Amino acid sequence: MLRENEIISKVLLTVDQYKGKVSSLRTGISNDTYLRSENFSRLLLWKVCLITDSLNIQKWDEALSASRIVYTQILKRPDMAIPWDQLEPDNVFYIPRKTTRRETNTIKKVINNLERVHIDDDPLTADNNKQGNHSNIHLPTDLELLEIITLDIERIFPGNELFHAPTTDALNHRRTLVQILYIWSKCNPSVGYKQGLHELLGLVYLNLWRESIEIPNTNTISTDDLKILKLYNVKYLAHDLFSMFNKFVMQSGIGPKYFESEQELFKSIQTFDMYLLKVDQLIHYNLTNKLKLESPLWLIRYLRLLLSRELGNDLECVSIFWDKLIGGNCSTTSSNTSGITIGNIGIGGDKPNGNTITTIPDLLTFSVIILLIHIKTDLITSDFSEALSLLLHYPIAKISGKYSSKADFISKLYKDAVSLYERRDNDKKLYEYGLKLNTHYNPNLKITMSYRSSEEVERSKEEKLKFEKLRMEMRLKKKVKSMMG
Amino acid sequence: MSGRKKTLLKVIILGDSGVGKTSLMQQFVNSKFSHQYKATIGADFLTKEITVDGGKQVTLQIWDTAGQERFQSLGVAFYRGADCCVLCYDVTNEKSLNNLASWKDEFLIQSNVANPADFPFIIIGNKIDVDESKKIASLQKKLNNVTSNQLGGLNYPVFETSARDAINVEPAFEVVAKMALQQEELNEAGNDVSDDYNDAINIHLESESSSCMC
Repeated sequence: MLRENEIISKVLLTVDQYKGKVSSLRTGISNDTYLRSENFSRLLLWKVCLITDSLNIQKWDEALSASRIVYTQILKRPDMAIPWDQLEPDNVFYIPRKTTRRETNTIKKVINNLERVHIDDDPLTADNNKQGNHSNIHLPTDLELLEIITLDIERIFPGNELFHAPTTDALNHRRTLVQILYIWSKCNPSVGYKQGLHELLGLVYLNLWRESIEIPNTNTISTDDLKILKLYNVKYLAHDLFSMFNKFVMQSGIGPKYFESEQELFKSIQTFDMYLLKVDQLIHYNLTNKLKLESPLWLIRYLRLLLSRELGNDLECVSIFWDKLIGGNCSTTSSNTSGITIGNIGIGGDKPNGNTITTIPDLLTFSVIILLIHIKTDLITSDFSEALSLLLHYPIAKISGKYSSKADFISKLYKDAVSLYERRDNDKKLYEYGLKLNTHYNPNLKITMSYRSSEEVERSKEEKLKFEKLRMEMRLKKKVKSMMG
Repeated sequence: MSGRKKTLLKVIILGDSGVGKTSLMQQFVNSKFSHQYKATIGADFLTKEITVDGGKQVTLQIWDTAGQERFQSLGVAFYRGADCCVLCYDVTNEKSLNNLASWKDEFLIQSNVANPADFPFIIIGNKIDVDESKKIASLQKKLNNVTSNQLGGLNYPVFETSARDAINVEPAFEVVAKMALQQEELNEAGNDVSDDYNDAINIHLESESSSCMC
């Protein structure tokens, strides 16, 4: 009961501290008070933001049940049965048709259950009609889809104990990931499965698993306490993960903007280039005009994985970053919610209060810009290969090492990104804030490019020459240093 | 200051997801093999300086790409200016062998090279360390079908490698470098890259006091 009691007390203290309001909890994420509190629970934060949308414990029960039943129903659909038995027998996920393992039983039950379950408000099929322009794309067969996913899940977070210990447990964890991705892709054919989705799901899984518990089968727990523990019930980890992943990927715009089609991905990259030009004209000029290093070469990974490769291998840094993205209270002052409606999966009661996850793509774009400002001096003194290497192997340890902790680094990163986000509609303010950031992060770099509205892109010869001169001096200095060093 | 330009050779590795493109690159550049590499998202990139026969120093710029998606327009950025293309398959995966031709087509369409008919490609069949029983049945015959097909066959040098056991990786990339160098020399006239150090000299002529940049 120790763990249960600990969870219950943490949750009660959190609800009490934030007066049962999600908006207050979000403030606690933005200003770090909750993040650094000893009562912090990532599971609580993510599930509250992505499932219950309420910090009122009384409402959790209903919201969780509503959300969990979706996955339960989908699992029963014959067209969602996973063809494990069609895999090559040497595939670790292969299950012969006639074994009596639990998973196979479930599948067999599903296959035998000829009565198709009809879900009227199935949120996942709502999008299926808008994929008219994808008709020329070859949709993989069920087996192909399963093979692609297993290939990627086999190499998810190499070396991670939970997923790669040589045990059945580890295999089962991986199998759960495969299952969720398979079903999710079939429910979202406009996006389908694309590489990268597996790591997004994997990181959510790791974080939720850590805090999930088995609910003891005793009658010594009060009804109220059970309502709290329900949130942490490991038995529904996959169910919750499915709903959360769907909301996190689809409603935030991550899926539609970065994964769904090449055109949308290209647009997102253009948006990044546009904001970079507004915030730091020098970095933009250096990459685009001087080095001719096109953003798609490196930016695709930054965007699709929400910086999970760039922020370090231990996954702690990126998890904190996601706490901010998912739980922060960056408000969408302009009504720029994208037109994606995926029903009301798991939304129980409270209306989304303007602090929605639709801010994620813009916040991510601005975070990337800040990361570039951090390495600006190195970028300027690099040739094409060096610059691309730097971007593809972002020197996170060097940058975050300047802060007292990883959490501190992420906190500043997020704060800067929000400051830019709030100025996103005003070019002049973006430019000025860019100058401010540079004064702070690059005090020794005494060169700027004058403000320019996006219409007049061409720079004066004088300005270009000034930049070239500085760049060469810095490069020569670097060379001399390396020769002497 | 020597006036010699650094020879930079751009090499693209293509092939289906999971055939071992990242492993090959890592084995060649860093002489290491990790049991598992993460799936490549977008692209990755490493460079290695090597000496090609005749003692010429070149820098190989090796581009590792994601094998699952084929980008229609973004691909141009990856393939532009390539000097050699490595087509990879997995000797245990027949589909990956059969897809080589479409990877080649993909490359030619995107890269828009001047000499598609004699642009240097090489083929690498990776994972030869695995158990014989797992290999594609009658591999040689199937490989011959792919390489010496009368119509648009992939008539290129073939290497069978193991990135895991470092078998044949080095020799394969030596051939890559040689072929890339030839291609580069072919294109050199039309492809003059601006030289940083000449810029530097010009700029220094009208130099003024500079601020400290440390």
